[in-house]
Amino acid sequence: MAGLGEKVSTNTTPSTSKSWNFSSLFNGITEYRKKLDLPNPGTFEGLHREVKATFLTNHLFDGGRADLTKVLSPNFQVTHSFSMGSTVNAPTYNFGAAFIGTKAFLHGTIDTDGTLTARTNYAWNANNLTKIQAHISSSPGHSMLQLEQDYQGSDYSINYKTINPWPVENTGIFFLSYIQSVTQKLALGVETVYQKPTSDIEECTQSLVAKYTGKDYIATLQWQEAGALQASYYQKLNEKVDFGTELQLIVAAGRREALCTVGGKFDFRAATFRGQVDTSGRASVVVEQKITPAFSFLITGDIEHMKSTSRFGVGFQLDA
Amino acid sequence: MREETKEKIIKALEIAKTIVHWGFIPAILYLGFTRSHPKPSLISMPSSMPSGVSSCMPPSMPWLLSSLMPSRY
Repeated sequence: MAGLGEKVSTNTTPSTSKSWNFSSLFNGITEYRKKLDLPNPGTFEGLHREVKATFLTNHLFDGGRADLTKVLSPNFQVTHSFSMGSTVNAPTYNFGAAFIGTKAFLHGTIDTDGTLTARTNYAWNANNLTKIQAHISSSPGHSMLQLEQDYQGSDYSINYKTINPWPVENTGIFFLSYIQSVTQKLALGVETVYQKPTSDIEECTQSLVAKYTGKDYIATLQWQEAGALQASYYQKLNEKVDFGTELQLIVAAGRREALCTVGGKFDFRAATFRGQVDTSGRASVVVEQKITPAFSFLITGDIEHMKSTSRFGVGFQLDA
Repeated sequence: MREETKEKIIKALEIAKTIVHWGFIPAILYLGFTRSHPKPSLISMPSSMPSGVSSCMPPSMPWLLSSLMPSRY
């Protein structure tokens, strides 16, 4: 880049200020950006990651559950998970295998119904990452393919994602997002979603985001063109306690809904406690008690007061 | 695009899907067993202990297990 810049400047020296052209302007901006030394804003998808980590979405289950993990070598492990007694899902056994190479990451699970979930990541270099996700089921119409390309620049991230692309009829869902650090703490981003479920229906929506990262807190705001607003705030109270809150507003086509969720995560010496309450009257708790470093016991509870329903779960995890 | 080509593409994708469906997990297992460092050996998987469960137990587990089920040891 510097070589190109020199070339341009020598070319333009005879006629001084008048003839600054596009490439010298571009180089000027690049150098100015370098001087600012802005941090990478993280991915568009990971915008709400810290808040989501305090919530229970991925930890809640009901009925009985057992997870056995066998670490065969530091970069290769297999898991067996059993679940039964759930009011929502049928009893199932799930086998998983994960391999982490220097550049590639492969993870697959298959259950007793023959449904495969496959995830593959390949890092071309420090900036470029390709992700492929597939969900293949024996029953037709339930399979899904997702292709994703991630580019992380010094102070920006670009992500292109497509779900079920079908070039024969030009259908699929396509996502393109760009997020840029504006100051040391503030990042702004934009995402375009183009949907074409059949060859004659198409829809395109935009969303805008802002992310503010403080010393021990992160605040985000996301606005979707369709009429949805999502605000989230994450606060790290100390080494062991994290809190997150999220507000979702939907004002679109006769719908006026709002949901506010507060979640907290407490790390104790031998236990992790996660609790969550929301304005729909739902309260949930997950407690993970480590009995030995490799054996933990889980209890979950989930009550929806407005619907008077409740679900409970007991499980254990064993690592070897 | 001609109908025949379309059908050929659909057929090829169906085959690819089937291969991925049943070949992905064996492929990971193959990679894991051949490319891992240190190499996991298949022989070490079954344990020398009488109960098969203890092979996937951490070192601290047997005492817990034996305190729960003394008759098995």
